[in-house]
Amino acid sequence: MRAVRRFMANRGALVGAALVLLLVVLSVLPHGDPLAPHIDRGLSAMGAPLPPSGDAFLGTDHLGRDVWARICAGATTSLELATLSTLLALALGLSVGLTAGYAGGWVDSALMRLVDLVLAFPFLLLAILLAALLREADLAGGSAPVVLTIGICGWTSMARVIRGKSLSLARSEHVLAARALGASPLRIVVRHVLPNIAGIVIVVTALGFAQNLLAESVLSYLGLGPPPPAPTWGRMLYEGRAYYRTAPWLSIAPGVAVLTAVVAFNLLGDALRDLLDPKGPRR
Amino acid sequence: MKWLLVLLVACNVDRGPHWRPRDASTLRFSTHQQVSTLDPTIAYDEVSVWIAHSLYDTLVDYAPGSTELVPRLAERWEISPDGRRYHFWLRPGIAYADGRPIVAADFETSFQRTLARPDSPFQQYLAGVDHVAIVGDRELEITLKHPDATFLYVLGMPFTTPLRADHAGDLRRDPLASGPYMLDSWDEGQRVVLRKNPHYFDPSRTRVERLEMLENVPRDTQFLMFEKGELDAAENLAAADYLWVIEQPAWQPYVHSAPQMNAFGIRMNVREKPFDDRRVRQALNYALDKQHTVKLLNGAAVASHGVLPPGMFGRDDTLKPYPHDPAKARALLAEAGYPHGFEIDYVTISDEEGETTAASIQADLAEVGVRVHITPMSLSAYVSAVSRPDGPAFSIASWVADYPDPSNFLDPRFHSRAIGSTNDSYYANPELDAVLDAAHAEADPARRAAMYHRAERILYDDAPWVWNYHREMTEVDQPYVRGYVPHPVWGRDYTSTWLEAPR
Amino acid sequence: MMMWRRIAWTALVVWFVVTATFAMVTAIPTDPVKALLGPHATPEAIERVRTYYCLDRDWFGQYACYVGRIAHGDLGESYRSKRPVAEIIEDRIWPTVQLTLAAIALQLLIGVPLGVIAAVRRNRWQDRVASGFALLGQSAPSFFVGTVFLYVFAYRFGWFPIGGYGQGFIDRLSHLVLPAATLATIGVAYYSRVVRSELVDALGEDYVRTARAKGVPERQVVMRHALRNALGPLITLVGLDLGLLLGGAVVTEYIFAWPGLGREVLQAIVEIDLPLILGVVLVSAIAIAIANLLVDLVYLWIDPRLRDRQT
Repeated sequence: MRAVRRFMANRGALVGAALVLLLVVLSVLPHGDPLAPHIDRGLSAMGAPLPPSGDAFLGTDHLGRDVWARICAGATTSLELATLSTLLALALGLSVGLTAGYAGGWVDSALMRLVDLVLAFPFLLLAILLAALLREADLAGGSAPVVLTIGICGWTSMARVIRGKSLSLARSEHVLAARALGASPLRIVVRHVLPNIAGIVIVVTALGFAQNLLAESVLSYLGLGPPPPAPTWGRMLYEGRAYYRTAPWLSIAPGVAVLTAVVAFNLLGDALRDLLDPKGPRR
Repeated sequence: MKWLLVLLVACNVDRGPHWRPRDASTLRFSTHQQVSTLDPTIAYDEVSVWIAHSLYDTLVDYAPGSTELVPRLAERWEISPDGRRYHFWLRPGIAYADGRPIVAADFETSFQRTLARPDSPFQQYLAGVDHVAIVGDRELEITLKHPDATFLYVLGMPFTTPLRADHAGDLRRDPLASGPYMLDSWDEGQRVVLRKNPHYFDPSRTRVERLEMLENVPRDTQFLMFEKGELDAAENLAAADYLWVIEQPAWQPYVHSAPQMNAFGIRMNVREKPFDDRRVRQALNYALDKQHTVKLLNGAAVASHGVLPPGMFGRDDTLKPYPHDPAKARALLAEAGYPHGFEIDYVTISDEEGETTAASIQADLAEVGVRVHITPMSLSAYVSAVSRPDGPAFSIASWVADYPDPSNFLDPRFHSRAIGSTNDSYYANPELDAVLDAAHAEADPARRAAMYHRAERILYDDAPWVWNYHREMTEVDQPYVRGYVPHPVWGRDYTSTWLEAPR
Repeated sequence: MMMWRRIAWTALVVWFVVTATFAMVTAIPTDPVKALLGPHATPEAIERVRTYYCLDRDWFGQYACYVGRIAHGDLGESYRSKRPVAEIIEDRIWPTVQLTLAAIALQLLIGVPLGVIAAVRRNRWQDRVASGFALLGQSAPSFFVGTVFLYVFAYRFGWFPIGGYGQGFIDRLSHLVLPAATLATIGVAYYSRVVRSELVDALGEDYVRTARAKGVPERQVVMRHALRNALGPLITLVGLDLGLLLGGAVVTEYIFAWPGLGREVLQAIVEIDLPLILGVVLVSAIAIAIANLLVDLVYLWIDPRLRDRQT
């Protein structure tokens, strides 16, 4: 309860949470069809996108589709993709970080070397290569390559942070005592370590979510995201960018959407960090 | 605050047409691709071929704005009655950019070079040549194994340019120019600058002293630069830019769209189910709404019934594109055993046009029960995917002809001989093969045209492709670019252009 | 002794990166030869080109072929342009380095003062505004920022050219501003936050209070004493940035048509141009490794004590 009250008192947390709520609402709001082109009525006589009007209050895109519908559908898709990739990154980061921090010694060294190896790749290069490769392998349709790419590129920072915290926890009195009493490592981890790193895990998840949203939009912008007609915001930015003179709403709407979502999760993450882990590492 | 407003207004750059050239001796334009080589024997991609055409002259070439062949390095020629011997007399006074004269033997040198280089894509064009005879410095005679009505066109391709065996440089970077322009500088991937060839025999073709082409400029950036006056011409406009510029009264007079020798559609592997059944292929043709496609391409395209573009010799203009008839499509599919349609992957190229038309195709086919998954790929990935026998069976198809003759459209795509190279529909029809072979050798134009009409009709009915459209090239020039005429084969053609402020 | 271990490890990392890249690229099921030669290629031509590029061997054979060449300093030729990869990289690396250095300079010049102001005026409006900017800078996709800059400052106002590299010193600078500013946006956000938080921490410490009590002017307190604290994390950030940016600022280079490694490698990957991809990856990995090494050296040089303050 006290935690909730502290949360409410933190302005950043409130704004962030409110924005996130807004996004969730957006994704469940009923909307028109975001997928099928409406070439006859959704475009001008020459085939140009239509500006905002009574019928389509954010206008239409280059295929005559309702932009508002795509933004709402995009909320669902972008959030889904970010969630899946963050979960993947978390799974990898948590297992590696926890193991490294708790076990210490050569296990720690070896795992951190692994992290170094992954980090040695220029990120975008790795992402583009993976996206291209996974696309060819064509796993289960369009979204899997993107999720895998972002997850694989993003787990290292989580691992580092979790490892740092686990390392210090492993030397804490509770853990040393439990060890002395002969408790199994699994039990120790579950009962002593996990609850104490929960805070930092939440923080890196929120911040990681923001990063992954951004990463998906970058990949889609380069044409490497989910294939058409997927309505992700990144893809909308990719498709709309050429029209910034004649139809700026095609870029402004998804741009603002991405910005809002990323800001929301960054705010939330920062606020959570202030609340849950004020003395922790700053990055 | 007022000063801020003034500043803003003052800083707003003039966005209308520019009336005076920045530099009357240089014509600046750009491409979103890059030049890969200046070696005429190897250059195959669009941009490199264009530069090659400016640097290298050939025996014959096309008249400005037309597909008619005129003498270039040759002064005149004679074809023997049996259609196998081509005798050329070279123009007097022709020379390379370094001043040394061009002689007949140099043509043989370049033919041999083409046949000797393993990476030259033009070997098949010389496959019909039996031998070349050189008579002195100014005459040569080429003898073919069989009569070929299209051979003159081959001699208009840059790879047949004369070359000297003793040229020391690497032709990739150091061309031996024989054409209106020579290489001034090439900052690879950045900019190519050509300057007037001082020894060129026809100064009327080089009224612009220098041509400067910027490479790797994305299409939207190209347009921004053009508007700002940093470029003198912008071509291959993105849909958004084209839509904008044709609505601007100030720019309208300078916007052109010109037909090109291309054809677009969807290719189907006719050996694989469900495309092995003609009814399915026809059904898909009825399902596609080509008017939608044309609208998506902002009117810079024309719906097609086959691969021969409007104006092409041998085109059967009585054939109309398949009408949009979803009911008929569904009926045909049901007849063929697919009453509930089927699912299929559609591979397309990940550029604006490829993805836009893909969305339309997906929607149209969904209406008749065919569920399409779109897979965009880069051009290289696409080429190698499709070239595998087990590659995608349903993908975007495009063809740009090397020269304006129906044989250069139909033979490579639909002759059974080309299966394994350019016939990626794996279409094999002995009747069509016979017609195409006969037409290739036929000298009488009227009979030839009739044969190609027949070929078109066969392909229309058999539908190895879903016929879609022919695209026009869109472009806009600054008002001071005078005398410009787009070319149906070369695209841009600056040999009749000059830069001068209009009065 | 430590140094040798570092260098050995670095070499191993570079080798790993190149090998992993090779594995990933060759796993993409394509045949570059067809794309190379065009649709009219004869089977003989195809065979000869395949042999030349070692494509007729199995995976290990190809790998050995490439590694062998690299060991001899031959990075091969780009499939697409047939130009030696080494030449391409030589042409492209200096623009990337220029962009990287310019971006980092901007980040330091703008980010650090921003962080200082935010810390010194903490919780007042200057802090809020600075933090707000930082949040936005961190959250905006770089292509969005880049497009906005291009549109507003180059196109609308005409202050800067619309992309490209420029010729001559002043011209080059004018072409450099917008892409560097785009890249710097995220960096400014991070740097200012780091400086702010380190400063806030430091300003609460005893020795600062002592200095104040001694009558040292506030400005000196902040600049000389407290800022020293931020040096460590800043150096880490700069090091990370060097690595990141030398890996190629792909999106920014693409938008501004800046002829750097990033744009080159994007094209190379999209066209599956293996020799070029490997060449760029090799160079980037080495650059990142060198950047990391430099960062460590700077640490040791600045103050061995600072290393303890880090964790």
